[in-house]
Amino acid sequence: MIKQVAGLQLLMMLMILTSLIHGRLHANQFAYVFPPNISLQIVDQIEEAGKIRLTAIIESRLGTLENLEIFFESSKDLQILSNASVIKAVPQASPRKVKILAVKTGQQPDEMGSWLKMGVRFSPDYQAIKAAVNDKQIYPDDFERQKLLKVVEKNLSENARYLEAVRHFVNR
Amino acid sequence: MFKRLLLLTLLAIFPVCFAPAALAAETTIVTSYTAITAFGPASNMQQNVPEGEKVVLSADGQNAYRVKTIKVTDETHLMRLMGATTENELTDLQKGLLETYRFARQAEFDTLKPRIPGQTKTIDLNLVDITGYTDTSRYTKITDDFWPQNSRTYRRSGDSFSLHSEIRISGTDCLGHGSNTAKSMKSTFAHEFGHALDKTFTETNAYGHDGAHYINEKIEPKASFAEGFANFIKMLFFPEEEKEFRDSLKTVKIERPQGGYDEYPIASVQINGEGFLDIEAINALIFTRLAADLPDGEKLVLDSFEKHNQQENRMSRFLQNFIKDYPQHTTVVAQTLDRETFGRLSDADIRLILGNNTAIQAYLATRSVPNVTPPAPQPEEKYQVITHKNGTIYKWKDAQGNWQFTDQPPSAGVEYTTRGSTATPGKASPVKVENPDTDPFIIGY
Repeated sequence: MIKQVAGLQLLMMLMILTSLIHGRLHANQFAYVFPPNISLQIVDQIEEAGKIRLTAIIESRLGTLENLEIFFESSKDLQILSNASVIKAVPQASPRKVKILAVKTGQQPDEMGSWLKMGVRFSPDYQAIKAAVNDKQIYPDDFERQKLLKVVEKNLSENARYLEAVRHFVNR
Repeated sequence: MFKRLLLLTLLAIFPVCFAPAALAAETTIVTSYTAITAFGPASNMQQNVPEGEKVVLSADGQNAYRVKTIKVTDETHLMRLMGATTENELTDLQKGLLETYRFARQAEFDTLKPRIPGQTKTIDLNLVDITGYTDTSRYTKITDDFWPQNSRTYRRSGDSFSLHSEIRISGTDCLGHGSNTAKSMKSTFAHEFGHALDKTFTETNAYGHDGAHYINEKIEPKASFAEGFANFIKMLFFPEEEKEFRDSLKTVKIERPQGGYDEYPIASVQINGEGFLDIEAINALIFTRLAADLPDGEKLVLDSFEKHNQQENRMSRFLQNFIKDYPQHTTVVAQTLDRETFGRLSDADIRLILGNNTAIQAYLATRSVPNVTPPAPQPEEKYQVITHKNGTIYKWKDAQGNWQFTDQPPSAGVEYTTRGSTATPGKASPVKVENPDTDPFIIGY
């Protein structure tokens, strides 16, 4: 009896497998993505006597980024001593370094572990974005390109600020 | 006496008041949050993986991500997992994840949830946070690796197998959308939720050489039906997107077997009969218009879809079933089909698609060319076949002075310029079977 049931299950598996393999497919709706505006990176980590020193690099990937507000967050086991700050502009090919100092608080890390986050709120270079998206060699499909341009125009009209971040998990 | 009357009244109205809530409660969306904790060479990432983390290989074949996934209990918990105490500290993509979480729990979805096929009335929603990895010039495969999708899995349930959907939302399809990001991510979720309602098995290689699809691309019948239905569900929540679907039909794209596309104005495209229903935008508009134009149309469309939901779904079959279910609406169905295919179908085509019954004959007897003009392409596109494909494209003028775009150079002596490779579309990430015992099969969109 047990063998019969197992055999039946195997048969069912095979039938389903056959039909699924026939219909198995993976596809995505085509969508252009914008070129990146900003690059945020944590490049090194030095840990000594309960202190963690990090170096973050902020780079513009497209035009000149303006009014960059930099702020920090961390898990409960860490306290960041670096202050929030503002950088007026970061032109392309002029990366800026940010030194981050954190100390251990003695508390337990949270569910995600032990981490530090640097957030950057900034105004992107809208004209540079438009110029990039208007490049028909990179974005040859007119309809899809227009969709991106509509998004840029909307954000520009609202003078929208963008927010990106980098999150560093300690001891990785 | 009064108490007894009150009790009877309460008993009478109880099922009416609480039955829909109880039905909706049967279906739940279980949300999890995934963060990338590290990235690097696959060999490094696979060593000493911290407890509770997993390794996801990148499509570049060299690198890998370490990820940590945690079940979300509520909105505050999700924000805490994302490393923020207020919404103001969330990145654009993280705001999109939060908005998607809220959106998936809103009451409008409760009416759709009981329509999910199968016994397992749960959908897994995985919110993937790619914070710190949005620079596509450094993390070149991030969009491929975490493109949003609905992975459909057959899971064992008692003595049988049931279809289960896992929707992944990451925002990789809306990088750089700024304040528009959250809306775009919610729209993507609604589309993927539409796939969770649908049992269609798409054809092998249904989407062509590149595995991706445009809304105005001619693909295979079952695939175009599935995508059209998912887009219809999206438009129930975002009706303003109907215009985008109409505008897309200025042209139709046809992918070549070896890759690359030919694009034709819809007025002159060489498609016959049911072939028009292989374009997902047309199918999406047929669903949408039936739902909008018929009294209680949304319910009728969803009821008929649910009643006949099966692996071999396609638009002609849906329309024939719809007419059988609601014969009083035959004329509207025929008109809708006629209008959304720009009057390009012959009487014989319409009979073939909708069935040859007296109501259809009556419609055809009085049929006039529907008052629909296909959206006009840009003037320079009017009589021109636009050709583009990944790789080098040659642009040159023929003897009549018309611009030509080809993947081969013109004959010797003709001047030409070349275009570089096209922007990389998001492509399907390889689906990995995490646990073959419980997740033996996965179908993604």
